[in-house]
Amino acid sequence: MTPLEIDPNIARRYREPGAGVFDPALGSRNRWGGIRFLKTPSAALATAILAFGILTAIVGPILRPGDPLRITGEPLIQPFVDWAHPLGTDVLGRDLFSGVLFGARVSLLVGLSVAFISLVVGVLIGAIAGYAGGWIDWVVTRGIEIFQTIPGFVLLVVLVSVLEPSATTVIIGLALISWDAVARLTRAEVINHRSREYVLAAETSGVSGPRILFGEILPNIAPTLIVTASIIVASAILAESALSFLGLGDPNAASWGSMIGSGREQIRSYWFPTVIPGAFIVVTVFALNVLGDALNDFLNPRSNG
Amino acid sequence: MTEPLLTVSDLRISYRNALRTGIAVDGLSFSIAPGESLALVGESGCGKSTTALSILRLLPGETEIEGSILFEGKNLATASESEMEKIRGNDIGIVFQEPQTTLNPVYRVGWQIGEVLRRHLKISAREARERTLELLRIVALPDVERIIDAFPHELSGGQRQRIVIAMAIALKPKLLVADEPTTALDVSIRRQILELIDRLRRELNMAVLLISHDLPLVSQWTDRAVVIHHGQVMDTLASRDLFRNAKHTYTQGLIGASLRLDDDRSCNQHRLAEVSVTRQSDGSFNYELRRPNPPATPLPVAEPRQHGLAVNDLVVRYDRRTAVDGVSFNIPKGRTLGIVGESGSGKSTVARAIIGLVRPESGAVSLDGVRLTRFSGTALRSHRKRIQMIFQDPFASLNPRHTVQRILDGVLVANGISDRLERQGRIASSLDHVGLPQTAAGRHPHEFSGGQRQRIAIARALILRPEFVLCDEPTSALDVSVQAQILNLLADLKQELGLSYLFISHDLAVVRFIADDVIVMRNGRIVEQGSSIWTAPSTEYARALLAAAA
Amino acid sequence: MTLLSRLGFLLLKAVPTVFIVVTLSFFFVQLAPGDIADYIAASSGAATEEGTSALRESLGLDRPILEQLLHYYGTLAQFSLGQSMRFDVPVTELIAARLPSTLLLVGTSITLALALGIAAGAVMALNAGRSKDRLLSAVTLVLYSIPSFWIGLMLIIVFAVQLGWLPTGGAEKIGSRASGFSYLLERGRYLLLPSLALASYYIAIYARLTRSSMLEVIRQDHVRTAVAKGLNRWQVSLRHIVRNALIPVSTMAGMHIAGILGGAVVVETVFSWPGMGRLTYEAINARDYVLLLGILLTSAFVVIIANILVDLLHRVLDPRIGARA
Repeated sequence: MTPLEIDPNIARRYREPGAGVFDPALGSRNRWGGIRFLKTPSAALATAILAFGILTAIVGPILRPGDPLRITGEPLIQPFVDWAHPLGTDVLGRDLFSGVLFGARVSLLVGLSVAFISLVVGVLIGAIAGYAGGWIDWVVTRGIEIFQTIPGFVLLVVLVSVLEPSATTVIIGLALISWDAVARLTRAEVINHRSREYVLAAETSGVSGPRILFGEILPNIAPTLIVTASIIVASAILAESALSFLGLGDPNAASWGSMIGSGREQIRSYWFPTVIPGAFIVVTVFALNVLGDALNDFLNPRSNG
Repeated sequence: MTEPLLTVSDLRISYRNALRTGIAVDGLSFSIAPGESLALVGESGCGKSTTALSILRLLPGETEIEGSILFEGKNLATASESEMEKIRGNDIGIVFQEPQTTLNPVYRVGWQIGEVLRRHLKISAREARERTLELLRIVALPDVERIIDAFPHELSGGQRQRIVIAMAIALKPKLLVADEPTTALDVSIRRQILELIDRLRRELNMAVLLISHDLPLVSQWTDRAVVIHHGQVMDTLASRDLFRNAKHTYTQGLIGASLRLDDDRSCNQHRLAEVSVTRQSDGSFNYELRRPNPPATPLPVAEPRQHGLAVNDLVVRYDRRTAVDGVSFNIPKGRTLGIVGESGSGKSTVARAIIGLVRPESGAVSLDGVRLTRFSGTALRSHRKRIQMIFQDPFASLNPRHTVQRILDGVLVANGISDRLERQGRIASSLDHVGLPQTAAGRHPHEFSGGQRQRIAIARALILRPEFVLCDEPTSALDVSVQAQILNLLADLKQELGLSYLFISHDLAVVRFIADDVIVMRNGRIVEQGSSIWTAPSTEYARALLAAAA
Repeated sequence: MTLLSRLGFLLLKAVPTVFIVVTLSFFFVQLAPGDIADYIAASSGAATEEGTSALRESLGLDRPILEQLLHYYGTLAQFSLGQSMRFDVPVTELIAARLPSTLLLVGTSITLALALGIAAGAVMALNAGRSKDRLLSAVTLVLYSIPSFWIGLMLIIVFAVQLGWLPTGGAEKIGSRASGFSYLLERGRYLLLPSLALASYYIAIYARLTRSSMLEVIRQDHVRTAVAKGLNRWQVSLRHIVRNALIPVSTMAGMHIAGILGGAVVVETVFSWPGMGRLTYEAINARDYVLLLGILLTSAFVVIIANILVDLLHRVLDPRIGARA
């Protein structure tokens, strides 16, 4: 930039204590944010687990080709004995390792799609209601209230059983019972930010409504929404597993929940067909929750002690 | 001299928690005699509140206290927690700044006062209630039978502060620590609270340690003052000599920057003193005092009356409450109109109605004879460009997620300036105007101090080259020395760019310095106007305000 | 506003909610491709086209959908949820037989979750950053990550199968004649595992919530005031920190009632608990949509009532609310 001609009166202000003195300690934190985040041990561990999970979901079918629901060996082989079936087989002789690999696929697909859909829908509806106010807000608030009145899981069970059970209906059903929480949160945050001075300042300088909402306010509530997204992925995985456990999931795909459901009959004598897939659910959801907590600490530093 | 009640010697306090690290108090020493009133004065971050809290050991964990705090022969810096529990509320009482939050919102105020009595005296609930009623009478609250069963949110700020005082003096302590007890209160209430504290000091023969940033207040209400900066004592002197005999450069700077109501300075002829502090390589501080002069450019001549910003019979209602009730005034070009008033007087709402943040119910705002209230959409926007606004809190008024560049650029884009080079040039020149270097553009608001942020906010207001700037308490969130810089900056800009201001403040002295004309607002109405108010106020309310602020 | 007038206001406000919930649920259930007539026809094996449509006609399924909806409103207005198509008894009767044991399970779980959650959260907050906090935080985060049906199965493996201390399922011993205290004890033995399984997730939620809201309260000025009064650590913690932190916890507790009720569906299946959850499962298998609709509405109704109670509790806990309204 070429140096501008500066009025001497203005130039003298450079020397003032209030002006032009930067504290290097404060530095810009945005550039190296990602790396600093991964330096937290828990965040690094959780990210590693999830990255591994996503990787197995992608390459799993290459590793263990073939339908995980077909019978491949003797029934109820114990885990860690037979290298052809490292995690053993279930009562019908289906390989548990293949099942677990395919289950990762279902869980992550469902979790991520539900989070994506309910985030897009919830943020849009909540943000518009919070910013517009008036009757739009009134209608949306009542709508959210109604969705919070109907027990989500009961509604989900009814919907999935009424429609044909498939991955798509499960995802749509879960999104239908998850969007309201996002909308409620977004609405509250937008209302909170709408009266702040930086928004008023943008308004007085002629910035248009949509630009204020999406350019000024949303970047400020994004951290909260990112944390919420990780919670939705986790709870969608839990709900999907419960659905397939009840036998209401996609009958043509192996999933962790349905494996537990079919292992349940032998629970008195054989623990592993129930315990192994359950352990995978717990580890995955745990990693997501650790990630959510770490993101929260990182993005909203004041919120925790 | 009698034996001191409290002797603080070589006190050092350092924080080591997630929010703050570093030294807050750095070798502080002072003492208070029984019944004496001592002030610790300084700007924010100087360690005065930390010192006050350390006496009662109310600092958060991960804080290290070195040195000694001798109270009646006992060192409070090393006393055990159970010893401290006996001293707190019993021998030493404390009053905090924010009466909104110092009381627990879920309990009745009488119960909260009674809690101190029950804790230290082991008396029955009934007896505690009797004594609480008596305390409420001592702090001069009306209708004590009703107030004792009120929840904090049912009381006004002044009443809540009286409750806190009643709680602090319940057991006739020997020392009362008052940490900015009036800062959060309205001007007219401040004086009453200070009078109450002073009366109690005399009646109970109690020493008072007053923590304050307000030099005129300290000079009036205390015996001695200790001026602090960066956790170190700058000056210790009798309060009545504060404005005459300050020895240290820093104290002199603060005094030059402080405005008093009987000050005859005006921004048209004078600038306020600015003190600059730089840290040297050996860690010590270098203090430099500057007394700037107004620029040589001549003052713009006020244009004929019909030009300017006119507000006519403005009425604004929120829900069912009338916030502004028939306000009219006129700001000729090149002049500054000050509006003074207490919280709830409607002064901010006037500014918000002018700029279009709230819709007036009736009345007109016009610019050079053109009615703005008649337009909407683009036509309105093109007129509104000529009026801009500066907000109170520089920490809230800048979007923390955007760089300064993006903040300033967004304003230009929103106003249809599509030429990138022109936008760059305007951003550069507006940063120049407010005295920030060009490198500031690439940074985020959190990297700047409060004063620097307010400069950015001013740059944003100036970037559209407005003629009128509405300033809503632009220096209320700032320290005295920073306030002086911002007031000087506003005065310079007015002269250089020929700006007109609407300057809203609760601080009468600041308005007297910056404004050419003044109006006083109360309950949404103008109660008095004209500069005669400074010398011969005609209404009871204006007289009371002046008396309270003096 | 007094609690009584608030109650009236809330009940009034619930009327349109109930109406919309009814309509919405009705349409959700209508999404089904087949109906009970198909199901009965299919399960009886030898169905003719005429037989099925005759059945449809007798059940009113051939009429236009809006007419069916109006008819359903009419049924509800008589405090009836219609006739179960599969079991051929009034739906209200079926639900009335199952609702109490679900309420018992859900109520016990909420109580357990609140008691353990608040206690754990308080310990974590008061020791924030120390090893006790870290350990409990990790434990709650694990609880937060376990599906309730799986933890139920694990509890069965450990306490019922391996140790043999507690029954694997059911609500009480068949043909038991126990009475008085031993009856309660016996019911308790059956209740313990399912309510723990259902509560585990919510223990974690309330613990985390209590911790964060206490840390929020600890920062507030009035806590410093309490210390400055000379109160000891316990008095400050219980009277001024925990007490105030209960306000956000009570709000959240209300919001989770619907979730716990949903969770009961799965847990009841795991433990063969004879409640609404099992009834739902049976209704789904039988494609008994009238019953399913009845269950959905009853659960929504329970949630509405619970929310009203929480709202009133909230008002008692936080005196500021009445003033704002």
